[in-house]
Amino acid sequence: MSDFQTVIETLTDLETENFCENDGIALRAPDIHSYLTRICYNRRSRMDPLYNQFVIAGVVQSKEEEEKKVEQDFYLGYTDLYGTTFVDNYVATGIGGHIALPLLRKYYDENMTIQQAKKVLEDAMRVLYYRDCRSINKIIFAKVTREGGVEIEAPVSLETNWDMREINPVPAHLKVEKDEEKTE
Amino acid sequence: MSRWGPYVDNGGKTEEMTKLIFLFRTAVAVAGTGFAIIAADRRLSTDYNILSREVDKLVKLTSKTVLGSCGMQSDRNTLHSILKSRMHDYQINHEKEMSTHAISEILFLKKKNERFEHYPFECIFMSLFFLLSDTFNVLAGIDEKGEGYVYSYDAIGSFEANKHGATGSGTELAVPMLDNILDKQHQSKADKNEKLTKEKALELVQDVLNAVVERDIKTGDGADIYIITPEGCEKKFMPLRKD
Repeated sequence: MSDFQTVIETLTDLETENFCENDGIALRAPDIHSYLTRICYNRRSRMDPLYNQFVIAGVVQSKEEEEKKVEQDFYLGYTDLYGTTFVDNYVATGIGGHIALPLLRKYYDENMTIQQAKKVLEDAMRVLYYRDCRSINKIIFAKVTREGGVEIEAPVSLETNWDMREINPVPAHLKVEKDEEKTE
Repeated sequence: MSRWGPYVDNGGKTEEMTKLIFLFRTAVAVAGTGFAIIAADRRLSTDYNILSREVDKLVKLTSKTVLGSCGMQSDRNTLHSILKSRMHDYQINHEKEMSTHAISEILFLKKKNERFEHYPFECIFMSLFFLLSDTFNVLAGIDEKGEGYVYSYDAIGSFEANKHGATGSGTELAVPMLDNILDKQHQSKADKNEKLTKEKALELVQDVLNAVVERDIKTGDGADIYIITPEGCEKKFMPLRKD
């Protein structure tokens, strides 16, 4: 978390500097991704890594905006503590890479709506909550759209069902009674 | 507390194919035929995770040379960016592209000299077995005479010019196949002077990649194949198993 806070400060400074220069050029998602990758790589080369895995999402404003479509309108990139970097349609960090990423791959559709995507993510997070002991069921969605920009929503609690016999064993003294009831 | 290590192996496999001058070389004085084929898969993995299925491991340095690297992806990106900018500088200064032999020398010197660069001095004693830039490279190209070459490197720069080479996690699977089919090792009755055509070489590369993908977990998802001839560099994509 502390490394993440350092990164937030660095990126905020970057944005401020860009704003001050006021030359009409905005920092796009690929630029910030590349900047972050270089920072991560530099730190790891100095044996002092930023111990995080980052996901960067954004909208790339195409120059030929309305008529021609640029291949990558939306940008989703990953950078980690070693400086490994790539761009893909679905990205997960940490344990999510083991558990959630296959789910995302299975249910991904190029023409998904926002609601469908949210449902897939919610299901993936729910599975992670069930499976990872260090997680909690409160999640925050953030979405980036061309019209609305960046929207980080309020935290949402996931509904979970723990009503399974395997994890709710009937206590011994109650069990005997139930068997007697059955025989009756 | 386990010590954090700055290296991670992102797997993958690059394979390079032989480069030979066609038999009708005498007539070739005009045509200058020859080829080099290099292919690499597209998977990026860590241990037992697949991070991405669409990552390029090959970089086209000039119209006659392609470099492929396996090992750590961040080092690979850095190395490729640095080399591309060197190519650009050379082109501007000398008004021609760098030759394949020169590129091979540069890569060797770069790896050799930068061996201790990233580490502060104290760390060298602690990390005697760490390599600096953890990429294993394979360089394929044709020279001015049209003859194809493959240079295979290890992580700190030792290299060898050869007719075929492989690197990455699937090396142990690919090299014996290539040695058997191309060098005709362990084939006592085979015709050792048989020349390889471009079409046969392409087929062979595809076969070897398919074979490696079957057994190696870190290889798969698709392959980029560059076919380098004096006419230019042709890029093909071949889908591979995704498991």
